[in-house]
Amino acid sequence: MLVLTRRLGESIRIGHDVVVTVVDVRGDQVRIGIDAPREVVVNRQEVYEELVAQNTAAAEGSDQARRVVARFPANARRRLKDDR
Amino acid sequence: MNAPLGSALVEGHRVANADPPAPIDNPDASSVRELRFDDGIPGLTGAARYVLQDLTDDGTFQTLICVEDPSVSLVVTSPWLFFPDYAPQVPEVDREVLDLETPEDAIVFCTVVAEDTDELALNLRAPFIVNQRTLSARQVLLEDEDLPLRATVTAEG
Repeated sequence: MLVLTRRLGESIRIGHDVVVTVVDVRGDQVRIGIDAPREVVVNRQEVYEELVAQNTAAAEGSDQARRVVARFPANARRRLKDDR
Repeated sequence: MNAPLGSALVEGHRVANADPPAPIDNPDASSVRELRFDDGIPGLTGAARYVLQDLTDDGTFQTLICVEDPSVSLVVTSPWLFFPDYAPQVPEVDREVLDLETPEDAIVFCTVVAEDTDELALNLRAPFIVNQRTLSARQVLLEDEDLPLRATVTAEG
């Protein structure tokens, strides 16, 4: 990992098109601003990792999902409810 | 064009559509319509081309299959079938990238994971959104942190 030290207001350029700026520093929190082309997706790392895990589970478990789905009687599907 | 295929929330207005999503592939056409995920799907192969096929006869569940590698497939469904109040706020940047002009432009579906032998989990936090005019598609990570990555549904009785 490349590690750089920046002060408040300073920036880092990634590639030719992405600029990361330290916008605010408060205690142990840093507000980071990102300037990037619209097609560059920017996400918090932990959320992205969870999404990857969920997509991977969906892809690797698609056979199992197919079986479970087939087991639901057709008229029950619209009565399924959130079980959180 | 078949019946509308779902809805997206644009600028706070929801276009309600409780009908099950119709299949994208047109039986009258010789080729199935391909969706184009220009940024791929996070965690999967970087492939961009996918097709949507009916899984169940009533169109409630479908499979999203990678054209370049058909062994890569996901079960998907329309979130509104189980969560009628689902109101995804599509971020502006995603609307722009997908070139969505109206809510009717969008087809929305989400992944389905089997949690148990009779339980499924829907990813309400990151639905797939397709522009049905251009077939450009993207998995959109919504900003609402209250939306679950795994919303469980179980069969009644």
